[in-house]
Amino acid sequence: MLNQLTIAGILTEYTNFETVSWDRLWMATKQTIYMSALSVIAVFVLGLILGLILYETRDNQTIWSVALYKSVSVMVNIFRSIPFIILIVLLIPFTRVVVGSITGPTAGLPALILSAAPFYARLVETGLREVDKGVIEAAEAMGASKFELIMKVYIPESLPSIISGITVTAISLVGYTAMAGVIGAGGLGNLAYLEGFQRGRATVTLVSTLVILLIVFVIQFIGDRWVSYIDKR
Amino acid sequence: MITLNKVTKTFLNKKQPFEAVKETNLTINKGEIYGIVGYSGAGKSTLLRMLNGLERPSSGSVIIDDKELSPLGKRELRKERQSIGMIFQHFNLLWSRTVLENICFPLEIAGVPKAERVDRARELISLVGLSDKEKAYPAQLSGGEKQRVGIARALANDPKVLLCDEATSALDPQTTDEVLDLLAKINEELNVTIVLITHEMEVVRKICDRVAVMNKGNIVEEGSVLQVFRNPQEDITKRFIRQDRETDNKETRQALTELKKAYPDGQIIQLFFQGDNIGSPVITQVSRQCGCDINIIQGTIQSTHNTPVGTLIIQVLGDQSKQVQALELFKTYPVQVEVIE
Repeated sequence: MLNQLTIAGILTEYTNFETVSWDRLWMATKQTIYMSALSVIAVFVLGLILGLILYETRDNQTIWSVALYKSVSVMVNIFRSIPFIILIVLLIPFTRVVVGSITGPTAGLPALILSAAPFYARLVETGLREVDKGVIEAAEAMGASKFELIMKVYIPESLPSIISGITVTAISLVGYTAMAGVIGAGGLGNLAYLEGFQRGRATVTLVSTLVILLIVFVIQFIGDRWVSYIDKR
Repeated sequence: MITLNKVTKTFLNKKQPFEAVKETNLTINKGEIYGIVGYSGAGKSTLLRMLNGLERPSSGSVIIDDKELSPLGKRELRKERQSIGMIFQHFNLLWSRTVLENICFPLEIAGVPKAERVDRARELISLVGLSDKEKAYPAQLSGGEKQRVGIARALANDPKVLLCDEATSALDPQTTDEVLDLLAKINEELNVTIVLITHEMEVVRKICDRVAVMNKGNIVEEGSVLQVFRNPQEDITKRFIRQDRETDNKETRQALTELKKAYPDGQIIQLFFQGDNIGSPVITQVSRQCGCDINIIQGTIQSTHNTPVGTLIIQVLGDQSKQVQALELFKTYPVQVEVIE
């Protein structure tokens, strides 16, 4: 039975603020923001390029396009399907070579980027496919080259999808940083796991959660505002 | 200006060849407004797209201003397209750009420096009458305004040719007239050759100099608008012209049957006037000379690009000899006379 005493006990467990080391919290927050920001930037660039490749090669009949589309498509599907926690472990040898270490925030980046870029590439591809075919035809009729089409039509005309896609991706990346943190990448996930779980300090877990929530809300807010600002349809 | 020489276009649809345009020869003169009319699927859209290389012909040659398009490489073809403007049924403006920026778009592609681009775009905005809308986004414009932006955009690089792909089909009748007036004005002031495709004979009648009628991939009839309207040869052409007069016709037929009941002995005559003859007082002169009463049942004037064409349906009353005399008299005037039974 839940009586008042146990409820009060639970509450005190969550409000033991003297167990929270604010220095460490701040440190962990910076690490989470560092990992999220860097991976979002890399995912944005990589995903955009992959998305454009997927879009461009989709309906093309030449053997190279078909091969390119198929291989990118298979890669996207594989990386999207691997559970993140397994992907990190799987990538440890790769990370050791690329980053030179398998702990710390930077070591979290390869796994974060590889898992989110394919997902984002799919979102970009979907966004690009929504661009009005008539507008593309109009640009071609004006004599636009492929590069001009990409820079002046594809990207500007699908920008709301591109931005809202990166918002969704950024939010899931924040979640992934927490998982990466558990196996040594640092950040708020690491703090919640080591201090909160292993040392039984529920308050630390709660505070870490609140900070992560705050980061997510800020991302969502900026993303939504940005999209509604640029969307003139 | 534009010559199509034995042009064909075949699409491979699921390995089934489909001949969208069958062997076609066509010449369009400099400075004229040329209409291609046909139902959807007649191949007119494909034909139009071969004029700027959006579609490459399967065989034959497309020559624009003494330059053949087929041997051109991608880069040269893109360059060539800059001197061929195109407007569309659904306008195809970039929603992410303002009116001014949309008009600057083809200039950016042509590599015009920024300051010059803006000056040129402003010039065009005032030409199409949208001076107060240069900062508006397409979503804030009406259909007619969007098409004006489309026209300004198509004219940005001073094209020799303007291609119009069902440019007025998404617009209401009044806006259609405004856009057609604008096209006629552009044709006159800038001497741009205009090729337009449409399924509305009305558009052809209002602004075209010459017309080709397309059916199932073939041009079945071709000639000056006046000649085709007055003396259509093919059934499909007659159908298009009839459609243009449809509403008038229904009412006329009703009026005719009623009048025939009221005056069973009268003779109903249809008179066609053309151009300057519209002004001559044929009716009163005939009436006075043979002393018979003439009852006007219906009259229409349709304007074509150069000449107005009038139709008058009248009923000649009185005894048989006077009726015959009147008919003979009408034939001495410069009008076409047709007795309706």
